[in-house]
Amino acid sequence: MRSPPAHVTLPVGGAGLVTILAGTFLPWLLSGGVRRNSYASFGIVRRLIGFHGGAEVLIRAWPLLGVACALVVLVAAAGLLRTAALLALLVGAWAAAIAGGALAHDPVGNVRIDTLGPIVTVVGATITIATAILTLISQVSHQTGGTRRDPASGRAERSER
Amino acid sequence: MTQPPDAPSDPNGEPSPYEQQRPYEQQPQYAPPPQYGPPPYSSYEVPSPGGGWEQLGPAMPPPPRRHRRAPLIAAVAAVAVIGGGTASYVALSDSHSSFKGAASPEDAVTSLVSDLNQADLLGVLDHLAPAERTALLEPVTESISQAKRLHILKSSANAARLPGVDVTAKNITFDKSKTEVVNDHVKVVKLTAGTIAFNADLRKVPFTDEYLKLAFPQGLPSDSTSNGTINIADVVRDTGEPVRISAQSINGKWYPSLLYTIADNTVYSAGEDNPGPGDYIAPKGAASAEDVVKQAVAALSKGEYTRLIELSSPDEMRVLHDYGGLIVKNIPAQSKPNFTVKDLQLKSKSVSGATRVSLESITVDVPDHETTVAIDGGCLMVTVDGDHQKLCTIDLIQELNDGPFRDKPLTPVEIRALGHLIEGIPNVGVDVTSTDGQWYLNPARSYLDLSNALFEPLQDNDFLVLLKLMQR
Repeated sequence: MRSPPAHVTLPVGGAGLVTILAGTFLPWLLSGGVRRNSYASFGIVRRLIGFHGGAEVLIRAWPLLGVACALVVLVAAAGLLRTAALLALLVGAWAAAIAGGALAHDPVGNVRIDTLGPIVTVVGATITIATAILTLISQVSHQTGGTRRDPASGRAERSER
Repeated sequence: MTQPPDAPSDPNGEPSPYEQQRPYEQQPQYAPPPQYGPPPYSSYEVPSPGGGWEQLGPAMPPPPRRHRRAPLIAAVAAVAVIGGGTASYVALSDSHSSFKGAASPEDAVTSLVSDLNQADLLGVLDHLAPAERTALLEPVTESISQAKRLHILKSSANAARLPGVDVTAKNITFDKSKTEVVNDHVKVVKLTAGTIAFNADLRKVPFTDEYLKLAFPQGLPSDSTSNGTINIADVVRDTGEPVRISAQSINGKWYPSLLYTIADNTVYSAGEDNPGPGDYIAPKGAASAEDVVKQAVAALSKGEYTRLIELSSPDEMRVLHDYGGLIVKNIPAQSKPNFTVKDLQLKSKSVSGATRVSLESITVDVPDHETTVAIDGGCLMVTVDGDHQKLCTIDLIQELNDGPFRDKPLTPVEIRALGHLIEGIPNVGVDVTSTDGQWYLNPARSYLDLSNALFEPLQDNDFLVLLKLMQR
């Protein structure tokens, strides 16, 4: 399968990151008639009851998601596509884990998950992860495609470009 | 690797995206180098202007358009930095957007009422004065964690959701002109109208199936739901007085206060006046966590209730200090205890947000009798007037097997669960905290933490096993 070129994956991946960020600012939690975005929701729930274990770490760092997305774009702009793809994969997995975890909670009483924000975030995370994987595949095939076999030794060598 | 002059740097040796887009760059040069003549250069190596080599053959391909991309890349990078930074700044602001107090007691209650009117339970909890919020919510959160660990509640249970209990307030209004001043940091705001509807439904509590089967073998009782509506206007008409909500000032900001509201309503319904400056009992803590409990026990044994109030946390129990004089005045004289603590040995350990002080041994004198109780591992050493008795878990199990469970002795699983429960008894203690270098009692927190301490050593299905044992 031929991987899409960088001028396709880069904008699509960027759109994925923007969608993730947009999703996090949409409503995530409905308490009575009040809707809160992901940051306000995690902030209030953490103040009132706290999170534990791995969730605590992921949620404590959640407001830094914007910086993480910017970092992915900066690394990609610097031409380090493989590193950018790996970072994007991590950001996508982080966002998907948090949003997926939120969606898994059943509505109870007056306080319930507002699905709009988490769903948009999951969509963004899926796009980001898919483009990151495609970019990584493209990078790996690009590297391996540039090898040749030395007719004398029979060993594979990297071609010089 | 040869790159055009404005190619992005590639410190990782990663291929640049531009390499993928320009096939002419990817032609490997496998031809052997010429033995003579000008040095070879690949088709994309453009000699420097005015330098060395005459161009022969067909015209060179147009130079790469990288100089056109550079501004675009810079713009994208700038947008990413500004956008990502702004997003994180707004996100951090939102995540810390708690209720940080209001400028006046009326504003504090208005804000609370706004949350009540929108049935925003999380907002209501977030409105509590910080010390009250910590004192109330931390033990409750711990209890819910224990209940999940012991398979009483499903893993989805959550303190902030208070499943099974819905409170909805509508059209709450209050009379700003009738705000009552208790002292410089407590005021009472008076609600005049609106409705508060509550609905408690045991069926909505996320109990596990195994717990429900054991606790309610016939299914949940028909009275497992309860609901009602309080019409504040009716209450005002019936009592002739508005509903009183107290607000507390902390560092110049006003918060609605649950404890002050309870204290104010108790005093008001008893027909007492608001506490005056003479009723204030200043906090006076102890030097260590264990010392504060020792002093409290000594004060209790002597009926020195003023000292007990002095030892109460000025954060959690500021209300006790403000209402101290009224409380002491209303304690019946005959309630003075009749015992002396001759010796008290304590131990302490850190728990969530506090230190829990528990008993090691105590010697108590009552008229004509002296009793010593000491905890030694899983055994209780009891000495009454020189008569020594050692009570261990195994002794209790033996007594149960010889008595109520004679027909069907305890199974190993039941013995283990019972052993764990008994291990929890020495865990029960008093929660204390430190403020400004002095240690104080935290009564509300200690009370809410009782079951947490007791059930702490229980494991896995122990609670369910004990529940089943009780139904034998």
